[in-house]
Parts: sequence; C-alpha cells; structure tokens
Amino acid sequence: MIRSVALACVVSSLLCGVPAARAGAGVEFFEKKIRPVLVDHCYACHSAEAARNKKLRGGLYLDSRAGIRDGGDSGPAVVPGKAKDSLILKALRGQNDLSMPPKGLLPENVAADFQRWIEMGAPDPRDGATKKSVAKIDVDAGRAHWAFAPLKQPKEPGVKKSSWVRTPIDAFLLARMEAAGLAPAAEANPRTLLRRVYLDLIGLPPSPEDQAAFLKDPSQQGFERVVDDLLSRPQYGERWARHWLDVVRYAETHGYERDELKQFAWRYRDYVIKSLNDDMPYDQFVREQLAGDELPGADSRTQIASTYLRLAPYDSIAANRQVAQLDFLDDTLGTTSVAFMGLTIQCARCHDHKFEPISQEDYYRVMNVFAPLNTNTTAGEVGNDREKAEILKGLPVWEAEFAKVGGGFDALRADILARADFASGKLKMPPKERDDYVAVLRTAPAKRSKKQEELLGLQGTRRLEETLKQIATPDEKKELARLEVDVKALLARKPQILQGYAAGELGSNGPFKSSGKKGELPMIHLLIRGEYNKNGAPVALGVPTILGDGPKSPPSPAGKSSGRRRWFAEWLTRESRPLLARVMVNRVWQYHFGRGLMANANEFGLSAGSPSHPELLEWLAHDFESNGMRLKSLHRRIVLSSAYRLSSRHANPEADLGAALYSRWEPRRLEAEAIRDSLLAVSGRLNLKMGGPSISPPIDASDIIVGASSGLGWQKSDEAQASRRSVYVFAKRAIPLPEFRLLGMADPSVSTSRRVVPTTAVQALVMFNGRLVHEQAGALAKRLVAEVGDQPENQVRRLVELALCRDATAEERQMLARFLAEHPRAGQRDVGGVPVALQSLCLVILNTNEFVYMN
Amino acid sequence: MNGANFCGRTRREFLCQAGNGFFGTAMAYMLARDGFLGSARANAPAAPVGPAKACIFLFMAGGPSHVDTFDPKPTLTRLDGHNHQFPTIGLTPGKSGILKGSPFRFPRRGQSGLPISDLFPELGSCADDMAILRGSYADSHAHGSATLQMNTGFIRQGFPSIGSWAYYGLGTVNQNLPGFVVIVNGPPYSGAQNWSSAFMPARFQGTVFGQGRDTIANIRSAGNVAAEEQRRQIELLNSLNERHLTGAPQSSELAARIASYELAFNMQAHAPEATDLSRESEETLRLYGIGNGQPSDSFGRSCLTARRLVERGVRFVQLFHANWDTHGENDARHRQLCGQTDRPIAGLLKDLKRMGLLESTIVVWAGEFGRTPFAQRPGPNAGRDHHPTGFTTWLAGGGIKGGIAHGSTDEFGYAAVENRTHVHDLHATILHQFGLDHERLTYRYNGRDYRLTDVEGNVIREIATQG
Repeated sequence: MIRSVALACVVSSLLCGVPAARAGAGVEFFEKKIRPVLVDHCYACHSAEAARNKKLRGGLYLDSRAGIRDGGDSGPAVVPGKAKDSLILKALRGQNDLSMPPKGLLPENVAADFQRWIEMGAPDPRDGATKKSVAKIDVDAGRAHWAFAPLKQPKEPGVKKSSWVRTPIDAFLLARMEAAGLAPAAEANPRTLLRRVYLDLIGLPPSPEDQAAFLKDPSQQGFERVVDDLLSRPQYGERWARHWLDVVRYAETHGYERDELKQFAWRYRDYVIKSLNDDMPYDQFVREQLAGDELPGADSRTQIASTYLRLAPYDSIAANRQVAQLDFLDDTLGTTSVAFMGLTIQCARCHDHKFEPISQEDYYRVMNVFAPLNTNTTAGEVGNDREKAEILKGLPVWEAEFAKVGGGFDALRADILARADFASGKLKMPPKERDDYVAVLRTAPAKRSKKQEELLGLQGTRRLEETLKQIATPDEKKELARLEVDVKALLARKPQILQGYAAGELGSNGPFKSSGKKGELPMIHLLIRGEYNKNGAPVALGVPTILGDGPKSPPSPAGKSSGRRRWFAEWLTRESRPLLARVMVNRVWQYHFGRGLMANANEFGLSAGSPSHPELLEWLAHDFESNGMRLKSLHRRIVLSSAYRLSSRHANPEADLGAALYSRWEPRRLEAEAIRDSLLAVSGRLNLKMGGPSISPPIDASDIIVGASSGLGWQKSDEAQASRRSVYVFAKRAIPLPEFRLLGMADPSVSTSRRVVPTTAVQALVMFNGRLVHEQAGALAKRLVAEVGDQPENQVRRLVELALCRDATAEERQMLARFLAEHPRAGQRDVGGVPVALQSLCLVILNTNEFVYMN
Repeated sequence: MNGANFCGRTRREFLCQAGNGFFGTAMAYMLARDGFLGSARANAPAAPVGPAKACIFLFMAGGPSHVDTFDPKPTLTRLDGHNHQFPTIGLTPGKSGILKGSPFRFPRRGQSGLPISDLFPELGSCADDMAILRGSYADSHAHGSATLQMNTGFIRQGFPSIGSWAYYGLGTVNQNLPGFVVIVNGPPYSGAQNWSSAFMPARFQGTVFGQGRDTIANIRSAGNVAAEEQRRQIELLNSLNERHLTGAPQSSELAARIASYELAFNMQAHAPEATDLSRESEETLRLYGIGNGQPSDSFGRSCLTARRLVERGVRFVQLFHANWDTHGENDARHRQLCGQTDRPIAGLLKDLKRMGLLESTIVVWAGEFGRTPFAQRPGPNAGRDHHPTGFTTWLAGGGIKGGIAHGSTDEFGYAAVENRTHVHDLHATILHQFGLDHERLTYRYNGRDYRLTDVEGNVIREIATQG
C-alpha cells in the first residue's frame, strides 16, 4: 500500500575529518576504559547493527569515530578536548534531561573516565566510516503529485448504454462498469429512493405526507423538487454539520483530568450549521475558520468561526504547561492539515515524514502560522465595534424600561417588608436585616452601594423571598409573582455583547517565546525529536514545500494579530485551491455513497495512492470550482445522478464486491446520531428547535465514570429539550452520550474522516433493551393509537409507513397483526392506555435492519 | 485504512454467499469468534503464541505510594523529618521537602524473601508469584495525562487503550462476552478515554460491566420485557430482517447485524451468569474477602468477577479502584485502601493459581504514578504528592517470573536509578507475554503506523520466564 517513491534512501559515507589518532597511551586508555562501556551499554541502540535491527535511537552512532563526533539528532556526542560541549558526558551524568543508559546511570567513575578521555582529545582508533542512512526528501516528485496539480476538466467518456447516463458522473461510472463487463442495477423503487435522499440530506425519514406527495410525481422533475426542498430546509445544515464536526473533532470541553467547559464553543457548531444552510462558498468557510478573527471586516460571525482553532483537547493542569501548549498547537496544525489539505503533516513533528515528502522543517514552517495563537481557555466578547455599538444602543431604552418595571417590583417589596410584624416571632429575618433590605429596595439601582448590591443580589435572595411570602396578602403575592415574571423577561433581553470562544493572539501565551520585546512574534525553532526543550535551527514562516513556494509577500499584521493565519488561509484558498477542492468533493461523495473515491478522506498525500475513479474525482473538483465551491450544487450533481438511484439488488453482486464500481447501492447503517434523530422523528417527539447552548439528555449516574471534577457539566434537560436533534447534544469529551458511544460515534479527540460502524452484541443490546428506544417505542405506539385508532390492521399499516417509509405487504400485515394477537400481554394497556403489545411491536420495527439502514 | 480492510472481509463475503440460512449457528459462531464482525487482527502476527492468553489489569487510580507498599526505604525512614533537596529529573524540577519515612514494616515474604509492606499481609503470601518493578517511571505528574499514559501509552487524549490493542491483536474466543471488559470500583481520571478504542473501530473499546444484575449496560430490558416475550420479538425481528436481506443479499454487514441480535440474546443469558457470584463456594468468597460487610467486599467481587470472565475467555479485564490520591492522611488512607484490596488481589492470584489459570493470565498492578518520599502538609496527618519519576508496579502470572524485584529507586525512593522501566516497557512486556511484538502491532491512522508504545518500549526480558 505504501509507495516509496517519495523517499530515496541515500547511503552516504560520513568521512572522518580528523586525522586518525596514532596508537599510544590514549588509545590504550580508550581500549581499556571507553570501548568496553560503549559496547556493553550503548551499541544496542547506537550502532550500525542497531540501525540494521531498526533499533537505532536518536540518529546517533557510537560505533565509529566519525559517528561519535558527528553525533545524532541532538548534536555531537563528543567534542575532543571539550568535555563541557560533549553531550555524551551530560547523558552519562543524567544532566540536562539526558540520562543514559536508559535503564539507569553507570557509576560516576565511568563518567569520570569519559571526561578524562575527552580531555585527552578523545583518541579513537575506530576508522570505519559509518554508513548512515539519510532519508532524502524528493520535493520534485512531491510537487508532481496528481493531487497538487492544477484542476483539469476531463472529457466525459463514451459509453454503450448512454440512455442510463443522466449526468457526467454517470458516464464516468458507467465507463468503468462496462470495462468490467458490468451493468448497473435497476433503479430503487421511488419510496426507497425518497427515504434514502431524506436520510442522506437532512438525516430524518420522510413523513407519510412527504411520501404521498412524492408518489404523486415520482418523475425526475418530482425528485428534483424534493432535492431542492430538502436542501433548503434548515435540517440540511444540521445533518451535514455533524459530518464536518467529525472531521474537526468538535467538542465543548478540554478533556483530560478536569474536562472543563470550552465556554460558548457551541456557537461554532451553530456557525457551521448556518454556513451550510446559507451555502457559503467552501473557500470562504475555510478562510473564516482559520482566520475569522484576522480577516478584513471581521465580525462576531467570523470570529466565532475561528473557534475552530481552539477545539483541540487541552490539559489545563498538565505536568508541563509548555508541553501541553505544544500538544495543543500540534493538534491544531495536524487537524488543519488533514481536514483541509488531506496531508499528514503532523507526522513530521519529530522527524521527517516516513511516507511523504514532508520534512520536519516543513512542519515548523507551518507551525509559524499557529504559534502566535493564545492557548488560554477563557471565553470573551465577540463582535466588532459597529456590532457592539449597535447592541449597546439599545441599552438606555432597556434601562428606562427596567427602572420602571423593576422600580415597581422594588417598591412593592419594600412596602410589604416595612409592615413586618416581629412580635409574632415567626419571622426568621431580624429587624436590622429587614431595615437593610427596605433601604436597598428604596434606593434607585444606580445609587446603591456595593454592599447593598451584594445584599440584594441580581433580583433578590431566597431569604427575602421567604420573608415576603410570610407577610404578603394573597393579592400582593399574585402581584409579586406577576412582576417577577416581567423582571425576569426583561433581564433576559438585556442588551449584552455576545460572548464567544474566538481565537486570538497576544504573542506571550504560547509555548514559543518571543524575545520579550513588545509586539515581537515568537521565534520558531525546529524542535529536535519534537521535544519542547531541544531547540534546533530557527525556521521561518512558510508552507509545506511540496505545495509550492508559498506567497511572495509576508503577512500583514492587523491589530493584535500577526496576520499569519490570514496569510496562510488566503494562500490555501488561492494557490492550493485544487487540493482543497479535491479533498472536499471526495468527502461529500463519501458521505453520499458511504465510500470515498479516495479510500481515506483525510489522506491525499503521495502514499495515499490514487482515486478509484481519477477522472470522476477530477471532474467533480473542477465542477465544484466552477460553481464557486458551493456545496449545494455539488449535492445536487450527485444525488440527481442515475448512480444515486440504484437498487441494492444486483443480478451479479459478486462481480462488484463492496460496490466499488457503484453498480448497485450498498446499504449502510445510519450514524448513531441519525438513528437517534430518526427514532425521535418517527415517535413524533422530535423537537426541531435550532441552535443555542447544548442539551443534556438523561444519562445514568453510572455513566458519569470520571474522577474528580470531570463529572461537572452534565445537566439534565427536560423532555422537550432532550428531544432535540443529536447535533445539539452536549459534546463532553470525558462523558459521551452512552447511546452514541455504544452505537459508534466519532471520538472527539481525533479527526474522524469516516465512521466505522460497529456491529456488536453490545450495540444490539442498546437498541433492543435501552431506555431511549423503549421510550420512543412507547411514544410511537401512543402516536399510532392517536392517529389511526385501535384497529391492529390500521396500526400496522401506519407503523410501517412511518418507520420504514413504505406500504406493508399483505404478508407482513398478516405477520405483524398475528404478533399483536398472539402477544403474551395482548389486551393489556399501560397507564396511558396504550396497548402493550403494540409497544412491543414498535420496538421490533425500530430494531429492524431496514430502519437503521440507508437502503 | 487498514482497520477497514481486515482480511475477514472476503471470508465474510464467502460465508454470506455459501450460507442460505443466514441464521445458521455456524455463521453466528464464526462471526462471533471473529469479534462479531470480521477478524480482529490486522498487522498482528497470524497466530500470536505467548504464555498469556488473558490479562487482568488492576489499576489503582490516584497513584499508590510505593515507599509504603513495595519499595522499602530504610534510609528514608532513618531520615524521617529531615529536609532534603532533590534534583531535577526530566520534566520534574528539583525540589526540597521534609522526608517522610514509611511507618510500615516490610517483612520478607515467601521463599524468595521479597519484602512487602505489612499493609499487604495477604498479598505478601503471593510474593513468590510476583515480579515487582521498583524502577518504574512515567512522564506526567498530573492525574489526567498520567492515567491516560498508563492506559493508552500516551499522555495525550485520543489513543486506543491497552485492552483495545490486545483485543485488536488477538481477537476474542468467547462469542457471548465482549473481548475487553472494564469494571469500575472507583472512577479513574479522564473517564471513558481510558478504555476508548480512539481511532480504531469502536468494537475494540472496553465494555463496562457493573455488578449484580446490571452486568452490561442495557443487559436488561428498559421496558422490563420478559424473556419469553423477547424471544418472540427476536423471532419477528429475524423474519423481518431476513426478508429485508433479500433486497441486498450480498451485504455481509446486514447479515452480521442479524447475527448480533442472537449474540445479544445469548449475552443476556450468559453475561449475568459470568458475574453471578452466588454459585461460588463460601471458601472462595472468603478467599477474596467477600461478605460480612468487610471493606474488601466490593473490590473482592470485582476480582472474583474478573477471574470468572477470564475463565470464560475474555481477553482483557481492566479493574479500576480509587481513590489513592492521598494528599492528606497518607498512612491512614493507605491502611484503608490496602485493606480494601489486599485480600481481593491475593485471593485472585491464589484462585487463578489453583485453577491452573495463572500460567495463562497476566495480572498487572499499577497506578498512574507513585507518591513522593517527602511529606505534603507535614505533621501527623501528612500526605504525599504525585510522583512519576520513580514508583512501583508489579506483574504476576502469564509467563512472568515470580519472587523477583527488578529495578530500583534511589535510597529515598525518589528517582528510578537502576533497571528503570518506563510505562512503554511495561506495555511492551504485557504484549510480549501475549506473543505480540509491540513494534509490529500497528494501526495506520492519519499517515502514521501507531503503536501502543509510540516509538519506545523494551520488553523487560529479565522478568519473563521465556526471555
């Protein structure tokens, strides 16, 4: 699978530049004191033999004079005459984070021998030239890679069965099928196709009404209307946002021990949904995520887009803060490179990439882009001056209104409190405290002292409320309640500047330090073996060499920002546009068909091979580009093809294993989120409210399996909230929603390019026994009774129509009705009057392959 | 991606074409044996052969003190109360502290005469089966990342756990139970990430077992549906699914999902049996310290459950016991914590041994790190702080030599100095005992062949019977 064109292993003889030491006392010392130690304790990892056994560490050879003096990744091991500069001595003494041998230091007298030997000039008779294998990066081969080349528009191939071809996509696919002697399968029946496109585009099944409407006109025009309708529904953005959130490993917490909230990170999720619904050009989507805070005309929306840069896990109480910050930036760089460019640059953090022409220097070139980012974990205000002014403009009006309503509330409370009768002894509040409360309530809010403000809190205290209840008349209580509702409503719409989790740069909060001069950017050094404290040579800002030389002009700083991310994003969406387009169209294709034209949607490098249908991928990318990188056009292109309409039944399925040639539709299981959404849709409980803070569907206490403070942050939402779409479920790294975890979710710590669906007994258990499915089965049964009454025949018809989106066959109707009639608890009803047997049947239908598969 | 292209694919295709009755038990069995769907092996050697067939990993969350348990330090005791300056080691800056000697005795135990603290009187009697790694060290002194490292090899989030690696490398032998089971007596830091399969397919993740009837999540019907009724539901489900399958007869996935319901139904019957301790003899329960409201009852049950799971072919059982984070009252807390675990762990080793299972079961005991030899909040209720630069882990069974102590810390128990063994070495050794080469067991993700041991790790051959 790995093509090794990129890496040429060049064997270079490292010739010794120092005259061979003559035999003498020095050499005798070497033979007696030094060589035995090297052989016994060092050669296992630092010799030509170690290299042959793939055991060589740190690129260091200690089995020749040349090797020991040239040194490895960290520098020369021995500098003759200079004990202080000889790393081997530091390692033997366990200084400067070096400690060798790894199993434990040797006695000090050994180190002393080495010191003496080095001071003698390190006489060393070992003439043998070390064969050091050096991996040479072949940049030219890299730049010639198909994925980086300018976009071409391939010619549509000629095919025999041209009547099948609806779109150029079909021609490309059919040509390959015909070459393999294959014919495409028949078309799926209209309702199968309808359910397919609903689940695919909006992640929800079509309602019986949707089905009936389509059956009236199942023609291509009718299908086009359906597709346009679906693409215009807001649920489209919710469905496709989930795909993107997989790729960028979206989560709302930091992970690790504390797993604290990334406050307002959910606004990014809403940004993605809205951008998709607005059909934002993909290049703009990319620029905003990478540099939404730096772009000209930045506003709250683009700033929120830049939350992307702060999604990585972060160990807030790491043993070493600098390492945690580096890991955070590394993760950001790595995710950016796979998500947008399909390149695994992250591999080059510690050494040159083993499978790609990407050097370690390339990694640090690109690290320059991200290094100035703040790695702190605080949320802040978003919005530009204009937006902020717009919001604050409303403040005086609000304040006047609040003074009126709030003033009335305060006055009434003061009056009631002033009548307090302490003689009864029933009041808990002492007179002095009462007096204080009355005083504050009779002082205008603006004139209250700090102490008074603290006493009253935002709206009052529990203690005040209790005392008021004790004194007030029934009428007054009513009035208090009414006023309180008004006050709360007013407070809720107090004009406030938006809070968000946008990216920012200050230059001092990252692991790479600047000289300390104000405004100076951090200097990036190559880190030897990726270790935070092993600075190599400085590396200047740049792009991966295989993708060209990068922009000629340097970044232009804006405000507090270096402008580097804008510089990078503009290069990426201009010069590297063909790659950007190819990577994205492949993702979209994969989500539609369940299989990408490139096997791994995150890998487009030289080792990733070529697409299964190179010309098709090229055509799609070209088409995407000529449509202004708009996803909705791309979706239309794909779902309106003949290939998309195929049945999963084929006369000769063996000839096309896994439907690699697209000669049939390969059924695939819905993602955990789409299963949950479908369950809710079918049961009638689905709440389509969009956006806002995340929801927390109920989970068992036993599912909160984390130590210390990590259990925080899982509030129980009420049923209506808990019935919202899965994309809104709280994405907490330490506590995934159990249903998602068991049915297979994207691990929010890593970029997921494609869901691998588990088929395990544990997964069957959650569907068959779990609370979620039982609840929805109950709700569905209730819905059936409400919609079609008590006749089993009608219930069965409606059930199949709702859940499986088709008519039940006569045989099925009989089978299901028999199940109801012969049910052990036939005739029993639950407390809500819903037949138990019907619930039992609903559970079975919701467990069928047909329900959880896109057929 | 390798993970998606297991060699089982073509075989499943074959099976599906060959079998007319998709519900045949043979197919269900084969699917099950292959980890429910496809072979669990990828780059693993064809048929790993090692002395160990199973592993029980006893994780002491919070970090137990090594100088109070398995690493006697007479010098530390002698200098108790003195101030001492410790050097910088790796990422850990040097610091000074008031030395805190262990108040516990370290009698020599067994024929080997290994000293084990009297906090573990029962476990001490197993000394001749244990290889104690006194020169253990790790990379982080923060719980979250250190716990991740001991469980996944990396201090970063997002890597598969050691149980996932073992399951991936070896597959499973029991079709009715998951191959990788997690039992949580006390929650570890970083939560479910510790048994996540991360970028590997989700079927390799650990399955959490509870105690009593709620063995596995959803093992009982949320609707309290009786078994007979469920049988009827599954029959109906099967006939609907088989009708549906005629629409895509080539789909091995659909066939596998049909089989998964039969497996789930079996699991429903077998998993509670696996954790049902009521058939165990009085004597066995006593051996594990179960019953009579003993402090060891809860962990004893977990250990006995672990044995029952291993007996039934589960590959990897991960037990979590908490909370060893003794920043205060170190001594009293250790008395309590060791009291909760001493008899259960000793019982486990003895029970495995007498059943002939210890030879093929590797038992590992470790926390995410040890604790400082100096006091935190000095005084009568002094605690000890997190300490990754030198601590103790131990192994027993599964081809591990008994009665030996390997490696050592300095005279204070501060730094591992001799025969130091990193977490990667421990992991490499566990895989080695399974017959897996930690350098060859890889999983390709984002352009890199990942390993449990990253780019490090040496098998600790000195403690393996077969070297």
